[in-house]
Parts: sequence; C-alpha cells; structure tokens
Amino acid sequence: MTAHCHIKDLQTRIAVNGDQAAFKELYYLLYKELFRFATIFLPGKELAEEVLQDVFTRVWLQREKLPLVNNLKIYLYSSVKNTAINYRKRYPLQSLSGPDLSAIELIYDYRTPEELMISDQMVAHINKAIKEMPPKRKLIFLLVKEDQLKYREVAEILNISIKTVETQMSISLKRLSFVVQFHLSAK
Amino acid sequence: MENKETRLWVLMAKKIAGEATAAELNELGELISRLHIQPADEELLNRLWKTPLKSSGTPSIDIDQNWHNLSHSIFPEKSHFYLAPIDDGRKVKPSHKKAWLYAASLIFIVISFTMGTYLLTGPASKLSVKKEGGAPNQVFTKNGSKTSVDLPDGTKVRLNAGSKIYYDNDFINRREVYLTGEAYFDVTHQTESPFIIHAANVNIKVLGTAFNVKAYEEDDQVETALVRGSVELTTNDDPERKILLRPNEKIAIFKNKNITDSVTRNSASVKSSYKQEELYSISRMEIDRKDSVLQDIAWMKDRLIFKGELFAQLAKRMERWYGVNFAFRDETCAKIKFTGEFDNQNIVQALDALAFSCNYKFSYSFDKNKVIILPK
Repeated sequence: MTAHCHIKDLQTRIAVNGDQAAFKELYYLLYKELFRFATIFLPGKELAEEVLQDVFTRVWLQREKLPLVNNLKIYLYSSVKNTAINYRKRYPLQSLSGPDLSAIELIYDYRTPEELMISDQMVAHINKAIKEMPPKRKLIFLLVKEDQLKYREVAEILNISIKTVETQMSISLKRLSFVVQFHLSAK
Repeated sequence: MENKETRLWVLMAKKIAGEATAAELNELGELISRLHIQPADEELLNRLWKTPLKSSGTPSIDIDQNWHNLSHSIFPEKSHFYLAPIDDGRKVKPSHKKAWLYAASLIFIVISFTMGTYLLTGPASKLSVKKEGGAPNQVFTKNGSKTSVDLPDGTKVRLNAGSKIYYDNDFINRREVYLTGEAYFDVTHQTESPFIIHAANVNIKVLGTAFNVKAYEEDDQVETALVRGSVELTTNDDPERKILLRPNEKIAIFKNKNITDSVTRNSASVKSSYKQEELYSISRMEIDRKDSVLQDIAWMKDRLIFKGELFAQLAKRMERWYGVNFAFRDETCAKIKFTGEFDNQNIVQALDALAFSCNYKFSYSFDKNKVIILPK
C-alpha cells in the first residue's frame, strides 16, 4: 500500500509542480520492472530501452494530464505494452507470434539455502516447473510475484479477466507447491 | 461451480500473493480441513514467494545512462533559448511555463558529408518533385536556390541550395528520409514513430522535433551539430554502436571509416584541428557573438559564416551558395585562410571582399559560370 501511495505522491508532484526530482524517482523506481516487461514483447535490449524512453518522455510531456490517470503503475505497464506492440509492427523482420518469454528464464537466486531449507535439487525442480509454464501463465506469474502487481492490475494491463489471472495463478502455485511438497516428503 | 480442489488452489494462490480477503481466508481454512489436502509448507512457500527471481535472459541495463539521455532530451536548459530567433519563420518566445516544450520540440542538426551518388547535374529547375510507382519521392534544389517541402506526416523541410531529399511511398508508416546537401527539419512529433535521416553512412534518429542537416558530397566528413534535445547516431558500418549527442555538441565522422573507440571530446572547437587518424571527433559548437546565431545554421538566416577556413573549403560553400564553379590556378591561393561572413553580397562583392581582406593575394576572372582564381 505504501508503495502505491508513494507512486500516487510522485504522480501529484510531477503533475502539479512539474517536479523533476519526483519524475526521476519514478523513473528509477519502475525502470527495471518495466524494462523486463518490455523485453517480453520486443526482442533485443535496444528496442526495449527505446520503448521506455518513449513512454517516460510522453509521461513528462503530458504531465498536465496525469491527474486523470487513476493508477499510474498500470498506466505505465499498459503504455509499455502498447508502445512495444506498435514497435513490433514496424519491425516485421523480428515479428513473433506472441510474447516471447523464452528469453526470460527465472532462476532462484538463493543465497542462504540452509535458511530456506531449499536443496539444490529442489531449486532445479522449481526452475523446471517455472520454465515449463506456458507463456501467458509465466507472464502472469512474473507480474504478480516479481512486479508485485495486484490481480486486478495484471488483468487490466494484459486485457484479460481477473478470473483468468486467478486460474493461471492457482495452477502455477499448485505446481510449485507440489514440487516443494515432493522434496519435503522425500527428506 | 468450480470444483473444491480448484477453488482451494485459487484461494491458496490469493493468500500467498496477498490478494485474499478475510472471508476467503476463512473459506480456505474450511476447504483444507474438509478436503484433507495439505498444500506444501506454507511458511516455506511464503519464503519462496518473497525470494526475488533472477531473469537470466534479461540483458544488463544502464539505468543511469538511460536517465541521463532522457533527462537531457526533456528537461529545458536555459542556455538554449538564444536559438529561438533562428527557428525559421516561427515566433518562438519561450515563456517560463512553456520552456520545457521548446526543449522537447526543437532539435537542430547540421551534417555535411560526401555522398557517392550526387544527382544534381544538368540544368534542372529550381525544384523538382518526381513521383513514380514504387520510386521514392524526390525533392531537390539547384545551386543558388532554396526551397521548402512539406512531408506527408506534416514535417516541414527547408532545403538549402544544391540539396536533395527523398523518401519512400511507405513514408507515413516508416518515417525515414535520405538526404544529400543541407536541410532544416521541423519534425512532427510522433512518439511511436521515430524520424530517421540517412545521410551517407550515418543514420540519425530523432524521436521528436526540429533539426538542420547539412550534407554535401565535397566534404570528407559527416558533420552533425546538435543545438537542442538529443539525437542518436549510428553508422552503417557499425549499426550496433550508438553515439548520443548532447546539446551544443558537434560531431565529425570521417567518411568511409567505422566509428571506433578513438573518440575525443574537446571543449575547444577548431574544425581544422581534426587529425586524420581520429575517426570521429566531438566538439562544442561555435556561436556568433553578435547575435547568437550558431555558425552551423546561419544559412537559415541567409548568411554564410566562415572562420579560419581554407579558401578551397570556402569556395565549395560559395559554389553552392552562388551557384558558380571555382577553379584555382594555383595551390597557394587555395590555402589562404579566411574569417568573415556574407549576408546579401553578390558573388562579385564577396570576391572583392575576400581579395581585399587578404591584401589582394589573389585576383579573379569569370568564364561564364566559372570563377577562376589567379595568384597575384
């Protein structure tokens, strides 16, 4: 909640005061997540960076309209998605059938395995489970878990129903839970 | 109604993700005890959930650099406002409130370079527009004349003398133009569609706005001078390598060479000091003290400015300016250096002024359209 309020606060400062420092804070706050999100739709680092520069430029130039934006985080994700999809249309050589998630490999960065009671083998299996997720499920999982978006927000960004998010998340969690369970009982 | 086990996992996922309401938590408890399904150790699942994942496929990013680029292009810098009067025919009076808008909407670039295929031969009319099926649209000017063009996307182009611009029929979808010679661009802002200028082996990308491009075949280098905003340059030889220009910087890329690491950023700017072994060189632009006109875009104000320029170089510019040809009968004359400026002088007045300023080290004569430079 505080994170949401913080963004809201930045949004107001940018819109009302043209606060450059607030804009910078917003940029640094969300850049990494939005960048990763952009790479899902666009192959290559440069294009993703371009999309982000575009989106942030637009936010700044149209900051007088920011008060009309209900949830800035969703707005940014949606803008990144739409801009990225527009870019794809202009680079037909690199066109892909759908979001390319193969580039995104999720790896548990577990620094204290003892503390987490997680064995190497369990990590390997968790990764396998994540890797085998179909693209859409993986994307939803990524947005909910890593980017800490609400179900409602994910649904809005991806233009799908909340029900779909619920279902996909339940399947992901069930699979992961089974992997963990299996390793715990094997001990 | 979904089956109870499915429901259990929906609720479980919600709980872990922090989405579950109190009622749903109760429901989950009931389901677990009724179905005798024990989801994996909740504590452990929670910890796993909170452990960040690493995306191995995601390339490393330089946020600081990207922020630097962005802030340079969108935040106004007061020192740039002197440029306003240059903006062709447009009254730009930056008010305090709207200052950011100008920073974002005006970019000037000047480029000069050599192009292998220079098509300005023969007694062409002042302006010629060709449209053929599939062929690119062309606009060009003869030496000694200028013209204005509106591109299909609303972008305004002012072409200097002896210049050519062409673009594909597909322009409206892919905003790319090819240029030889010199032109001032006022680019219609389209966030999703960058505007790209191809000039010899250099590509310039602009996400919005206005700039000036100079591109003549006689020069050994591509020169790009950025007054405001930011632009990105790449060369065909090394498209991966991008050079970002900062406001008031000028870059000279020598033709037929790749961009390599041998880059210099000088605070002093003397064109003639570029060494041949340097492949490109970045320097500050010079401003004419009198009225703050940047030398590189003085042509917009019908002025030809030169500083410490070799006669040979200056002659090339005068050829375009006046639509004449120069012939040097003697090498020593070509090496005389001149500093000065022409406003509305005709060719004879200009030559007289030059001869006078060097204490008549040369004389000249005309042969039709040809100016013959003779030693004293």
